[in-house]
Amino acid sequence: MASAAGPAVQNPVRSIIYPVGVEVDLSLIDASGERDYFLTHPFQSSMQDLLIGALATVDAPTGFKVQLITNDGFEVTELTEPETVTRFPVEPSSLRLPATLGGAPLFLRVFSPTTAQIVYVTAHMMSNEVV
Amino acid sequence: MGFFDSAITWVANTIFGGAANSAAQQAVTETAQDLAQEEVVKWVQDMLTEPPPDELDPYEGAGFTPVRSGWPVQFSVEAVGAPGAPPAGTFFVGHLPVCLFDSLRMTMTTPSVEDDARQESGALARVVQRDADGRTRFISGLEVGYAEDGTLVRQDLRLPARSPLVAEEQYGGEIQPSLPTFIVVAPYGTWAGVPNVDKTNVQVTLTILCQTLT
Repeated sequence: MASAAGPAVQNPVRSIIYPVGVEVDLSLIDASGERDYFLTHPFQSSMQDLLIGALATVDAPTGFKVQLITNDGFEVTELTEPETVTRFPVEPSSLRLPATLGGAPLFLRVFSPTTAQIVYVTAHMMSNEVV
Repeated sequence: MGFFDSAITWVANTIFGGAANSAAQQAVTETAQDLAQEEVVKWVQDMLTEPPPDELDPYEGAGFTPVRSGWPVQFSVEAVGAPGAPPAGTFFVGHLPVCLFDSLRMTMTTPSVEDDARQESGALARVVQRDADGRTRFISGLEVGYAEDGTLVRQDLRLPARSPLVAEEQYGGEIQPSLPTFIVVAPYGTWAGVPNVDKTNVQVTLTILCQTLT
């Protein structure tokens, strides 16, 4: 017999984490010392993690920072403060960058001196099932 | 009477003698024979419809549970050909979360099978990861052997130059979460006799199955 409270309620909305990867070539960063890399147009998504690594573990150049921004062509909004990264490991380091995402184009702003180094960055986005 | 009924009758007659039994023997054993014959019929039916356990296909047996499930997420890249340079490239797709390999699909532009009728040149695609020791982990394709450093090598997905077909690989290995993952496109063969190389681009799509968070 069912209890008066009924069966246990389960979360009806399922969600997944999907990756958005971008290859950051630090040799392409000009004298201004910063460059924006497009990540995605978030659709009812939140960012769970930002992973940064390289093919071989190396120290990051002095002054290397990353920041999440949106740029809709009219306005640039800084979602997070610039975060310093000191190493690029093969198994990537994880940055928790709490940010409220709307639907505007999401970019990773990279601050770095020009260096012959390729960095692999992945945003782990969480998306909910549309019900 | 079909083959199945004939087989049952033959087995039953062989075991119990059938018409060769004398009338006396038949009278004595008739009831027992009817009962036994039903068991034999059932036995033969079972034998014909269910193979012995040791002959069961391991992928169709009761213990086999397909595990390739999840939400499909796709990554698509295009390797662009240039004059004298067939399409090639290494494309970073991300540090993948917990997921399964589903498929790798490849097509080409400017299709014409007549240009390379012997199909001696073409493009290959594979999905690889780089592990913490700097070794390559092959993800897509059937296992074909081991490299000198112990790396398990898998078969590439191949498509002859300017083929109008779609090549698809649905077999692959484990994806290690958080390792950098790449789609690699490379030419094979000489491509010397392939015209319009600069218009021959290769499109590759990797599909993974992401797991639902609970």
